[in-house]
Amino acid sequence: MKRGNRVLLELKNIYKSFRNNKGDLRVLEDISIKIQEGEIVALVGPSGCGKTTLLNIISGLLVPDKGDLFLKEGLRLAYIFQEPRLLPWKSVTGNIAFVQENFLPEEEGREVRERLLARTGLLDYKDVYPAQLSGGMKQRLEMVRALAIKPELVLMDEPFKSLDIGLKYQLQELLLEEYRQQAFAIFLITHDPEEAVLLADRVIILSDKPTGIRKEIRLDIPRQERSLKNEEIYSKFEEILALIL
Amino acid sequence: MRGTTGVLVVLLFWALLSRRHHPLILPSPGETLQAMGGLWQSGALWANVMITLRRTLLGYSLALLVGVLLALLLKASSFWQDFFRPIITIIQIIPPVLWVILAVIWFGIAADLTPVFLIFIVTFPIIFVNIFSGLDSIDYRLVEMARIYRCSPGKIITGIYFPSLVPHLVSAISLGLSFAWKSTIFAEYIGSNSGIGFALSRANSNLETEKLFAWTLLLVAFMLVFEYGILEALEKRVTGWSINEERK
Repeated sequence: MKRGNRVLLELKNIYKSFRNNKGDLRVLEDISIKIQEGEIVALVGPSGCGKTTLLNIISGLLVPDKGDLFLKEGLRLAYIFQEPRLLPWKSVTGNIAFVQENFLPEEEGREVRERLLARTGLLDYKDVYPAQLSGGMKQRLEMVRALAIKPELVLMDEPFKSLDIGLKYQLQELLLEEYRQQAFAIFLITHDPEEAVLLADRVIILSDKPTGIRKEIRLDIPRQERSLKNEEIYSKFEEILALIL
Repeated sequence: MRGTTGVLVVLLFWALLSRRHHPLILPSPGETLQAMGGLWQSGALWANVMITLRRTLLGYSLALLVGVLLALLLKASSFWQDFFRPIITIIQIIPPVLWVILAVIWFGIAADLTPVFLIFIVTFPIIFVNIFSGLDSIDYRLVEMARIYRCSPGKIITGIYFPSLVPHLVSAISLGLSFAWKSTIFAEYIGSNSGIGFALSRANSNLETEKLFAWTLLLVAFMLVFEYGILEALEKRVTGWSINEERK
């Protein structure tokens, strides 16, 4: 695993509010976050606290009212959406190739794609359209597409939220395995403290609206040894839970 | 299969009824086919079909072009949307017969312009409305996805906007075409001296009811070929990805 200390992403004192008929709705206040190469950072907070707004700012879909956003030059960014965003008129292969073309040469793209499809049991379905896939298969495809561009940073917006427990563990395992191979960084948004303590190097806990950073917790235990049975992990889990309840 | 049976039942009824009526009122299927044979031999059939087809295609292509471009323009600018929407509604409200009368006054009887104008004015609002609502159906979340993955604007247009619109375009074409076809016949009937519509009007004034039936049969056959042979096949092709059979 390659772990540098180059900064991939830095948010400095980000502010964002939305205007509605009742006046300004302050969503993000003074958010500063730094993510380095190969890090897994989880962002935990109450639902509706502006986590997705933050991801939209990072991915360039929204512009902050105030503050600085720094991205490493040419940063290769992937995004795993909560609901799969697949092109219905393209096959499984077509959906992946559609984004791969922007980053990888054709030959390399096909290699990565087929390996990931085989790994997720989707290779037999590579010529099938999304309408013919089950919900779980679409979610797998959504993840495969993100990892298939050989990303440096993967943004994830509660990707495991609506999945049954079997599929959830399967996808988490795939993600970690690819993480060990490809050494990308992950910025994971979740409402689930368990997910955060099992996966992340750092957990950032947000407060309710207007959202600011409440606390940052560091986890140094190797990922293979993590489980809620581990005392230290469990105490961090409880700490996070207490902060967001 | 059931559809074919339905058609056969209608033909049977027609044959039975025609036995009890004078050919002037209701010619039999046999007499109708005979009349069609006569039209074929005299060359009138082919000549008139080509004239009508040419006018329909001309007027309809124009309507498609203007309808699609206008929909794109109006979607992009709220100023032009406010400007054009009421005009298009007014055009749609005015009955086609009035447009024919005006076209005859403006363009005369002999010219192609009268039928072409009518086709255009009747069908371009249909195309426009369908494409305009098709533009609403573009899933903006997919556009966001493409932007995050650094797709160029050109790629977003060809990879997302265009495939989203194609099914609407095909259904608009199919819907508008039957209107276009009817408009040509109508305009030719009232304001032209050639084409199928004119042939209908002449058969009518000469009391050649079997020719009237022959032309009608021909029109029906033509539309069926278009609708089922060409447009349906096209529609299946462009929406093949939407077959909704979930796999477990």
